[in-house]
Amino acid sequence: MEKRLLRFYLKIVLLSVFNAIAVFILILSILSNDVYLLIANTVLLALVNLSSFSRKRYLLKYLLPGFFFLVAMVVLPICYNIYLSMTNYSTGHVIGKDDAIKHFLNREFLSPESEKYSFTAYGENAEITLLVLKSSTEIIVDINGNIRDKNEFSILDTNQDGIPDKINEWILLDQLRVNANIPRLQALRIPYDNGWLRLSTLREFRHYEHQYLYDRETDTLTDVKNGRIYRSESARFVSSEGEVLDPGWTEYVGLRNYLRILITDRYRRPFFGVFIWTIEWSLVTVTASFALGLFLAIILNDSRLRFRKFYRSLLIVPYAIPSFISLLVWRYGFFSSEFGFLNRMLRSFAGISIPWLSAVTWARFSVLLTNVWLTFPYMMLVSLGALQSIQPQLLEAARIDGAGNWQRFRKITFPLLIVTLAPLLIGSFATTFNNFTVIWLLTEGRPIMGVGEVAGSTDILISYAYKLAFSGREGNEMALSAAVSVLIFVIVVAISIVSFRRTRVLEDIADEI
Amino acid sequence: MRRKILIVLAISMILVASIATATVDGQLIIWADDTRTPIFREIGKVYTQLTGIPVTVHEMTMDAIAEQVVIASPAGEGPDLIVGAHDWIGRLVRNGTVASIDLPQDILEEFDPVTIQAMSFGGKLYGVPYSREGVALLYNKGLVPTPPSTWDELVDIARRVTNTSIGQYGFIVELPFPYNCFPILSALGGYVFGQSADGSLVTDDIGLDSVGMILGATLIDWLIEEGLMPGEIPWETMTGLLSEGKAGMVITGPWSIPIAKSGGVDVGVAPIPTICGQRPRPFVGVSGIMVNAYSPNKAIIQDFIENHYATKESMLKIFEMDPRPSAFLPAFEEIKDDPIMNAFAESISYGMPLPNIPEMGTVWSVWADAMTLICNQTMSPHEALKKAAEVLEEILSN
Repeated sequence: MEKRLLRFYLKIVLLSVFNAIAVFILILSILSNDVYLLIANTVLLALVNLSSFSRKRYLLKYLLPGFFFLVAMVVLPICYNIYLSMTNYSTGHVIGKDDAIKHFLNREFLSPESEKYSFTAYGENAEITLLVLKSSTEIIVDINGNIRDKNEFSILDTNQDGIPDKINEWILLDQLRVNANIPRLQALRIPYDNGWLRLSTLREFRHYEHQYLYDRETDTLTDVKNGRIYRSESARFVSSEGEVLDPGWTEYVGLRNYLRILITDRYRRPFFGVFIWTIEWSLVTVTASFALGLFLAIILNDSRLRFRKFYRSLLIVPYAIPSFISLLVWRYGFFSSEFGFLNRMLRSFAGISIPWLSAVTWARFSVLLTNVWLTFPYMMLVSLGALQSIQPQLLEAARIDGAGNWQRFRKITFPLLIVTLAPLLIGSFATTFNNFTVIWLLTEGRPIMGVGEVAGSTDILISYAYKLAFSGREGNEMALSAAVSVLIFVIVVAISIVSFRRTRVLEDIADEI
Repeated sequence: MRRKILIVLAISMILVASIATATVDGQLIIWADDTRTPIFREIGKVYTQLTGIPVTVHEMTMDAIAEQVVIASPAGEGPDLIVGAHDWIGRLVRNGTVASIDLPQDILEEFDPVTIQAMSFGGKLYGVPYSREGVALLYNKGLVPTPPSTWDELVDIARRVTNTSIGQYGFIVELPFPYNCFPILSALGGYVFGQSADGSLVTDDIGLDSVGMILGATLIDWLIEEGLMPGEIPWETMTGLLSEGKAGMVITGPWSIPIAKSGGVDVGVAPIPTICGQRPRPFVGVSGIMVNAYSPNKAIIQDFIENHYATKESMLKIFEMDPRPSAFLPAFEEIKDDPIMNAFAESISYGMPLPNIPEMGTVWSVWADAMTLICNQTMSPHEALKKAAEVLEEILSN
């Protein structure tokens, strides 16, 4: 009974916490007019409460977490990525149009003949009621920003220093009290002449004017200072002389980014080059590391071998060291052309040095070598597991039938092995396809293909996308990069579907054995 | 059932109320990296004592600040001030992230004019500097007792000290990235973009293939060919050689001093020797604070900058905790006696501000490509730089 009560309370507390957070986000989303968040949040809130209160729909409880994470971490990012790839989101176009216009309307300039207005504040306790601004003239302003007539008030200046000590019942406030009111004071805009007076530092007000006016009808921006007119054109404000105002805004551009990749020579050439190299990179890595891993697994699986555990531990080392460390050791310790271990050895023994990472063919060889070194232990481990699962009777029977070592491997071990391992190999292929870390830490995509080329010779698609998005080669082209990611997604999905189809064929073969 | 729902509702409401009060108005929020965070916490503490306005400093990495501020600010989640490098300004202005700053003339005049120029974009000031940095000639006193004053002397010393069989180099510059070697490229008149009369950059006038630049690159090419300098030397290798005492002279900045000292190497600093009587001109990088365009606290910011940040006490405090030549002249007067700081300051005084336009990302990569081909001796300096200028022109014209 007590246990049930405890569970009941735990459930209530957890649900309360969840609801509190959800309601808080709900309020935030209403405040910020975020319709999508509002809908998503309401649905989630309803589903969670429904599933925990309703007896009929309690099954939902078990599906909901998985479904939620699937949507939040897989479906949403993919959808957002697709959406992003159809915009012009890039350096200079990171905010919405309304935000950009607001930005220009908020731009102000100090009036050329602006004076500084020192101010004194009056009020009760720490509440400000009146401000007296003083330069060549004296202005009395109330806390709502309205200019008031002097004669409305009874002003008392006992020590005759020109600063009133008391106005009506309100007394002069000191600087610390004034500072406590800063959030209110700095929000004040006192209409004055063509502009307004606002707090410029904690001690004075100054006269500011709008720099731009926006006309919604014609969608133009006018510079008040010099009368220049800016039209909106390709997501920015441009004057008739071609002068462009920053910032621009994000807008929907349809398939333009995809067309840019496929049609513009500058992006198309590297894209297909990089695509082919990415396929080569994944294929060679997977086949070579699988071959090596399987070979070692077969040797280690032989019970006649002594110290098997010792060898196995040694061979797992590349897999066990964090690749962030080992990759840097390969890059600077082994491959460095001037100071690397390999070239130092070669120079002292043979008098030659090899451009490991600086010539195209060698660089590709080097990254492949390193990646095979990194992945073969994984292949060895899974092969060892798969070898254990093959029934010894089958091999025994084959031996009795007179099959040799090679024949037994080809006709029995390998087909049975490949059925278990094929999904892992496909997974490994997809991982290698997007193995950003290895490429980035080893070469950053270098060596270059030529002066100013977008991609380097060892860039794979994902590092190419990263370069477009962040490395500043063309400014930050997030949208273009999103388009490349969508293409990568399509390619990987296509390859996976085809390969899984083919594994099904393998299963049939295995059934026949 | 009913009771259960009521309990859940009540607890939910209490929690909502307690989370919602977490946001406060009328305070300063600053984003800074790990070295600057303690400095601005210190300065902020004093400001809070004086004015009662709370100052919060969030620690982030430099890269994160530059990236996050663009995304967080329009959403109203950005800081009021960021501490950063002046070459971010072009990108931040283009994205509408930072606001221009009006400072009274008397305060402006207290800053080194180069730093104010560096913090300006399109004729407006977007940041208030506190330090300036640039490369100079760092020399290992054990290998090079007196620093060279002309390039011929430098070459002589490099020839004498270089001994590749024990892995010792007389002269190294981080290559092929063109930041550290820029003094060599600029000495005979090389430049990146031309300047208009008001000091702003003219992107139509590309100087990557200017005669001075090509001559400078030819000098680098010759040094590599003669074996006086390795053709590819990344930061990791450079710092390794420096701290092991195997580098005679290095063109590098104040950031390398702690690295040399950590290896127990006694280093001196001198301006980079003249080439054919001409002064090499390093890039000057400027650190300072910038104002978020979306901040509602403009008045507090203005007050903080004018009355609390641009003061000798604050600037000396910054120097104490992050020793680079101060951009604030009254503070720099106080620290001039330090020979290393003084030498860096002298080298910087010949320098030119690192361009802060948003296109610099493209310039760096195209330029680095050309320098790579020059340094691994696959293309002549003339060919490579001409090509780079061509490509750059094509990209910029789009």
